[in-house]
Amino acid sequence: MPNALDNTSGEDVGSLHGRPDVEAELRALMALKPLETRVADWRRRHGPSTFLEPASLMRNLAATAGRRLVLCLGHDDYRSVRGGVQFCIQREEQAVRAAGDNYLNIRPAQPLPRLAHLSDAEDPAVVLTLDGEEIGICAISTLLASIESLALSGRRMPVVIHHLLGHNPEQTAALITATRSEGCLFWLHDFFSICPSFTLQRNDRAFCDAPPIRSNACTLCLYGSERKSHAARMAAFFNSHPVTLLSPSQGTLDLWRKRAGLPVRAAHVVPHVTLTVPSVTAADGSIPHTIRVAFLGTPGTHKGWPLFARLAADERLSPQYRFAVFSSTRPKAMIRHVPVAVTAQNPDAMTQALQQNGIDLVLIWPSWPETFSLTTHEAICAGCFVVTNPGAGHVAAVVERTGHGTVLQSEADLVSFLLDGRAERLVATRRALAGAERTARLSDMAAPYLDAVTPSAPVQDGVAPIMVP
Amino acid sequence: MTVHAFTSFTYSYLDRARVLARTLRAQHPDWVIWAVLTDCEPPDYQLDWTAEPFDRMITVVDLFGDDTEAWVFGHDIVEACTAVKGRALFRIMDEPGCEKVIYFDPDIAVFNPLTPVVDLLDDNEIVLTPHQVDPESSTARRAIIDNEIAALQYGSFNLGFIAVRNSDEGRRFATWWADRLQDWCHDRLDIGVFVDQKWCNLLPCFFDGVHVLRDPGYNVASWNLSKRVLRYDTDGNALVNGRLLRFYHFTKLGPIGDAMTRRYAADNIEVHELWWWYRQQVIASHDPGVPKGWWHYGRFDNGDPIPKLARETYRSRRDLRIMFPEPRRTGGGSFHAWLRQRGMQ
Repeated sequence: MPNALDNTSGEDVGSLHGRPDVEAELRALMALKPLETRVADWRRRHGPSTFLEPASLMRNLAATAGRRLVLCLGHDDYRSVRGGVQFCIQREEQAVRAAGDNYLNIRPAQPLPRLAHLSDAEDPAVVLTLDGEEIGICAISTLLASIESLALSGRRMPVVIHHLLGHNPEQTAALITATRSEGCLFWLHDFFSICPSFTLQRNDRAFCDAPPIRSNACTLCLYGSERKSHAARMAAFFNSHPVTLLSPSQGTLDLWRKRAGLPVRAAHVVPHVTLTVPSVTAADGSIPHTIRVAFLGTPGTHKGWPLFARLAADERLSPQYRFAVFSSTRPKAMIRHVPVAVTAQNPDAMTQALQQNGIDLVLIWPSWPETFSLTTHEAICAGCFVVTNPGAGHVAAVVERTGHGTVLQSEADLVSFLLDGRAERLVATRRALAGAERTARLSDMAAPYLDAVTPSAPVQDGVAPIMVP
Repeated sequence: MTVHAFTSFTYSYLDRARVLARTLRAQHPDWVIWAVLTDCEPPDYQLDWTAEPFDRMITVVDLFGDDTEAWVFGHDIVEACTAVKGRALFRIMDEPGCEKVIYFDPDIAVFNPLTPVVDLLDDNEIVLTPHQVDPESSTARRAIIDNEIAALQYGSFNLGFIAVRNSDEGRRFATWWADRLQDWCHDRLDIGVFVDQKWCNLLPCFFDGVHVLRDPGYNVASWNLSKRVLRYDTDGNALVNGRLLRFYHFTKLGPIGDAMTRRYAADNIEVHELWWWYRQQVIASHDPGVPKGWWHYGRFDNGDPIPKLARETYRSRRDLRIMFPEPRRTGGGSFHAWLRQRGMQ
């Protein structure tokens, strides 16, 4: 594949004169909408293409022959939406089916940027995807009735919750009850169990660390009003059934314990990917002439996209640096775009694209503590070095543990890093490792822990229960 | 010990006054909150005051009786809403059990307890907040002009806030202020008068126990943002220069307020977040039954707007006030006709 970075056209995408970063923040703030306005924007009329009758649903579910029918709750179509949570569900579905079980994904027919309220719909519709094939839409009451029937027949149905966005937690609790399972597995892909702002961004702009609900920061945030009922409903949910937490990183679990105040039966750290990488050695002293820097994934403010765009437009960097975005959708910016779609069927797509384009550095600069960051692992597995900040959560932890990158204290330090020779030395170190073996082993996600929530099964691996007051 | 708080507004500022009252109630549920209304209801509009976040409501008619029409006519909307504060203060002080009275402009929102102010009134008679508590840098020419020179012109203290003890000295102040505001609450920078506010430059000269509150967490506004920084601590407290944000004065919500905030808040994005919150609160508090820009005393009874010159002429000429005791009336023999004959209407 031709290296998309070798022929820059020099398009002017702006400059850093004045304070365009502040202007950009102000524009974003002015465009901010109240949460219920967003809810209204998200609502759509939908005519279900296939609205399942109860008997039809029952036939579909009863026809599955696996040992267990795993019920997975997600928030969107994990088969078509490109993202970390969606990839995890795809991977988990693979692992579950490889073990001989069936996998039923349940997502809201009406996506919402918060929990569903009872006032939204008393009997909301859900979209069902069984073993990777969408089988249709039904009312949640129809699904509950089918699950109850299956449970009565002895079918084991462990519940795995990936995300509750758009779901009604009271009905989710009823679903767990209907399965007769011993609670559920609950992924901490983000902090939605603490706040509707699932990356804990006050007004979508600054990491807030989930302060007390009555604090000024919470009261004055666009999510503050919703957070009051959100927290109460989450507490009710976590108290309704034993919850086994699955956290992709220790740092995420630590933050959750500090802020959530929710009881759990057990908690396990289950990294999505385990990396084996070469130890960092000294560089050979050569100074790289051209340095290639990438941004991975959907451009988002909380992922550091505005900073990357500013760097790409900085004339001071243009002689030496080449910038590119690797993502499934083209960003609205005059920056080289390399289309990449990572799926469970093609999990190495990003890693391969980074290698083929000779990327040196990947800028991962989130404004919240990432719970895992698949992109960090993809970048390191591709032989790239990651540049990040101390507030980046697991990104910083991985960089510090492997030495494959650097953690810089601020945006100003980042710009200095790119101009004062440190970047060149880091890239020289990276290139000295070129060709060294790197492996990435995907986890089986929740698959090894299903027995813990399946009736008559012991708790996995003997970890003592952690009760969080 | 009862603390009373009041604000002065017209129906077009009802939305803001509601935000003030709700935020004040959240911090001090035990205070008695008064609405002082210098207005009458629009046609076909009736407000259920029992559903409003105010405990009491009094109008300019309650304060000025039969003199209301003539007196209000001599004032534009800002002059009128500030001029009633003196009499309203005196009236509220007469309430049984009232020990301390605090005034807030309707475009203020309260974020943390004001207990320190209540405590200050144990040992002081009057508490004021200056427009600025820190001098500008000598090189900040624009800020000196916008802020310090403006304070020299419009008053050292911002009368969007004043706290008064219901004591002999506090009542002496209320008497004096009511007296001055009856006749001299005008926008007359040419003679050094600016509504109710500039008069309070004289408070430390005339009265004992005047406390100047220099805590930067009080009365934060565009005129002092150049020297104040808003941040949140790890517990989510809003801090201004490290002190709790007690209340913010959202003056001139709209393009002017935005421009001044942008100029002096600069990259203090937290201030802009606060404005976003306030804008949403005002929108949510808007009453669609109130016509835009409504003020009963803003027009003659035929709907013609009352020019400022007409007001100034009327209030400066005793003969006109005697000749036309109902100055908003139109038709033959009216002040409106008198103005038209002279090309002033």
